Amino acid sequence: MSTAKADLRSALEARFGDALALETWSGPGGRSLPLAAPIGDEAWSELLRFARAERVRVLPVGLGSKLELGLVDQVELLASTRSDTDVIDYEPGDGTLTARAGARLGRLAQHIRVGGHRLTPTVPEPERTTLGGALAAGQDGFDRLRYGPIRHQLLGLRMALADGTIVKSGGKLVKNVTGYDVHRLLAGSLGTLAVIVEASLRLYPLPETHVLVRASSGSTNDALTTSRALLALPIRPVAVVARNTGGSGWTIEVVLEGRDDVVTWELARVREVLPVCTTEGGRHDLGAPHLRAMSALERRSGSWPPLTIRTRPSRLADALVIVEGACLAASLRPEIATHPGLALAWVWFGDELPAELGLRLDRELRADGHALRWRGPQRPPGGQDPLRPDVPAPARRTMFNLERALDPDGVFPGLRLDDAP
Amino acid sequence: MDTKLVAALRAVVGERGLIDDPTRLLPYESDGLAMLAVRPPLVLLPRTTAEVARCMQLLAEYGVSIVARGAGTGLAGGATPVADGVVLSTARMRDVLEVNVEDRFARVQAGVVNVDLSGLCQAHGLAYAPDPSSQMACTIGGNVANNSGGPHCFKYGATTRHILGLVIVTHDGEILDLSEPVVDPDGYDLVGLFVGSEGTFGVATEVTVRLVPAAPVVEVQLAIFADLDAACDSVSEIIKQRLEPSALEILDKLTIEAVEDSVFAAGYPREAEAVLLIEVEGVETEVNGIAREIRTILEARGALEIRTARDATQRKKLWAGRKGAFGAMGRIAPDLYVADAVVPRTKLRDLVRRTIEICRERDLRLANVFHAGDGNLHPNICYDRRDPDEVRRVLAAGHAILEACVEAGGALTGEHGVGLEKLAEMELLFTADDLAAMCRVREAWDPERRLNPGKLLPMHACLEIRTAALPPAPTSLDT
Ligand SMILES: Cc1cc2nc3c(=O)[nH]c(=O)nc-3n(C[C@H](O)[C@H](O)[C@H](O)COP(=O)(O)OP(=O)(O)OC[C@H]3O[C@@H](n4cnc5c(N)ncnc54)[C@H](O)[C@@H]3O)c2cc1C
Ligand SMILES: Cc1cc2nc3c(=O)[nH]c(=O)nc-3n(C[C@H](O)[C@H](O)[C@H](O)COP(=O)(O)OP(=O)(O)OC[C@H]3O[C@@H](n4cnc5c(N)ncnc54)[C@H](O)[C@@H]3O)c2cc1C
Repeated sequence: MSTAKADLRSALEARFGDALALETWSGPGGRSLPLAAPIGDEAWSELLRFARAERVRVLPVGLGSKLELGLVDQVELLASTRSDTDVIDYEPGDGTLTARAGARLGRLAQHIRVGGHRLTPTVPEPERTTLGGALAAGQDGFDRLRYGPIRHQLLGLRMALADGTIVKSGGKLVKNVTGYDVHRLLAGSLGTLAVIVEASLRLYPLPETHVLVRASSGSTNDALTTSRALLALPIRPVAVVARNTGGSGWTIEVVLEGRDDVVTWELARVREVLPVCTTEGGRHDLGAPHLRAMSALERRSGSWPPLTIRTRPSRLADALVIVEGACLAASLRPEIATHPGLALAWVWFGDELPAELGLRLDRELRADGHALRWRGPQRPPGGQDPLRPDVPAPARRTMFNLERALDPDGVFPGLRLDDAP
Repeated sequence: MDTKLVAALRAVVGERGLIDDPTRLLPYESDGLAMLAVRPPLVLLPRTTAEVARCMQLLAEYGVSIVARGAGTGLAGGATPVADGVVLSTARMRDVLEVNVEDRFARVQAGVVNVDLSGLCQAHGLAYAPDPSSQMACTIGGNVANNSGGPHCFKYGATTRHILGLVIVTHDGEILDLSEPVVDPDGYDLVGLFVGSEGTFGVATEVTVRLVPAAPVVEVQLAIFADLDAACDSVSEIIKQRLEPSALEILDKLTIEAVEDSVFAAGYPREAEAVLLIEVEGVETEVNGIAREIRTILEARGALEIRTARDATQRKKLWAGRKGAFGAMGRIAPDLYVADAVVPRTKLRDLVRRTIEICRERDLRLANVFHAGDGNLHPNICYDRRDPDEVRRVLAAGHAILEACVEAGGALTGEHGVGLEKLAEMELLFTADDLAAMCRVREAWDPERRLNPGKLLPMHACLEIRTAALPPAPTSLDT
């Protein structure tokens, strides 16, 4: 073990003085790690060069409040973008925004409002989500149905590689095919390939108005049938969501936004499918309480969903039959929220998920062809590992080669890509 | 080429799947960048993914390079053969494997022609949005490899936003089946990375594409201007006002003349200096509202006349000139050099002017027809490839245009790719470190660099990383 590693904190202080604003990160199970917060390209380069030379493994993080523990367990140091927050360039005439990775999505959304723009994703906690963290986690907003996933918003980025060099991919332009889209590789890479230090996003017009439509529905089947009818309308909803409620019923929510006249027209179409409904809305305001409620959909009961199911739209009902069937047999009532248009479902099991039920769900859902992601402590032992991509072995090998190509010395933690048992 | 290898390949693809007769190799000598031509020793035309995989295994054993080829309409020399390498054409891989209306996707073999897929979707009220002007010929595999654009990509985004899955055969003949259309990639986004890799990562054999519902109402506006600047400024203003038409295309005077003299004649007025084609789509209210606001901008910028069409036949007629523009220009010069660069949309007018000056200084005829809404310029320079001096001036003008665009915050290519054409200019935009990182990514896919060698990345940038004086690094970290 290198000397720096034995007393990393002192070594960092000796090398960087106060420049890294060292703190201590404390995680579950009494785990604690030093957390450094470099600002600017040069500081990132130097920190990574130090880490490489001293064989210290680093996880780049945003605010680092909710990290995948499988990654944290592999490292000795967290390097946070929390203080590297500047807006580099907002070009209203071109509809693009460039900012440092630590900028919070909430502040960026405020910043571009003056120029009449909105950004996506609209995440549950925009003030506590960094641009880099959202990109590296491939985080969605509730507005994905209309605007697409975060990786499609990314025009380009600058990244700090494991050897400390700073490189760029893509640019700030809305159209550009010069060179490889290495930035696409970084989106969703969970901090395992490089540090995103700066990124450029495409922007959208700030809508004049918005409206949230809410209606009740009976069974799971009714809710999904109604959602399909809504999705078949000639409208461009921001979200169509179905979630089960405390009793036996479901709630359907539709969010519309855009020009006043268009929203009015679309609302009339929605009412044809949902004759009994309530509406709230008005001027587009990201702070509006009901929009907050929509974006907090993913944090029902105050926690992230332990299970995310991704499938084809036509197969969502099959997946929910499996979930509800297995839970019923175990006398458990799961909370479920779905984006039927995206074929995405989140499931919460309450305080306890019996391991055998978790395993049964894992087995049956995968056998029926649905993709799963477990997160947090409720993942059943032996269930789908969030760090091990559920893709054919040749694809995992290509991923392994890419990890090795960008980070040959393993300065960053890795996904689990080898095929050894 | 080794006769044993040729025999083994013939056994895989059959007599119709292999061309080695020199007279039949001629059409494969170049792509749309006709000034670069190399006669390949062998062309393979496999039918299935399994055949592609078997061929690639054999070629790996013999260390032979492979240039994938769709329809050869690329304009950057991406499909130009390499000496001693084989061309692997997808021309016999034209099956549509699945159109899933309920889940809005289609799965096709890579050789399916863009327009055939679009036509098939139309019957279901759906559309495959990317529509390169070459869509009558170009293949979905070529579109994937180049991340191609088209007029409607202004609203819908380029090819990459429409690709849900791929089957890729790797350098050594392994099959990566990533064809299932999932909401998000699991692990790294291999599909997203592959799109735009110009045949250097592998051969795409099947493509899963996203389909979008066809818009209920579509209006095309054709605005006629006495001044190219005013057309450019109208586009910048439309973007600035955050209006969202689905397409914004400009044609200049020389293009208009060429179109009107051709079978693509669309009734564009010959006295115009520029026409701006705008398409707005959506529901009736939306189209009415946006079209009205755009009209106000066009009038304020001095449009001489604004024609509109909602009826499908009329719309098609207004579009015919744009879609046929490249074909029509065949009449005004033996050869056409189609440059491709992107600029910030706030700087359209300045950069279009600059391209005109650059060509005028070099005594070259220039026709501009471009995806103005995306800031994607296509200065088309007329020339005769038999005149070496003219060829030299054309290349110099192309370089000067790219320099000007990069200086203005633009990029080297908006849709045609780097290919062979823009290798030298990559260093205008990227540092040696940027390029070295890209080389490493490339080598993760193709360690021997046998796939489309010498394209997309300047060779010396890749060679340098092999010999780079990196400090000795540990091979693994002790944890
Ligand atoms: C168990 C768990 C469940 C979660 N579930 C959900 C969920 O269901 N839905 C949801 O929307 N969000 C979920 N999150 C949160 C989300 O994934 C992000 O973590 C968070 O929203 C972004 O916060 P942050 O900016 O502080 O980034 P962090 O939480 O600090 O980082 C997020 C990830 O990105 C990496 N990273 C951060 N910054 C960079 C950078 N600049 N360069 C490279 N890599 C970087 C980190 O290593 C980490 O893997 C969950 C998180 C955890 C740990
Ligand atoms: C008249 C005209 C108009 C054009 N208009 C447009 C336009 O509007 N927008 C636009 O973006 N482009 C346009 N182009 C350029 C060209 O048509 C596109 O780049 C198109 O996508 C190329 O497709 P192709 O099948 O002809 O591919 P090719 O030219 O055969 O190949 C292009 C590149 O893709 C690689 N490749 C091909 N197939 C595969 C595969 N299956 N797997 C891996 N790699 C592969 C080749 O190696 C090469 O690098 C135009 C060209 C012409 C001649």
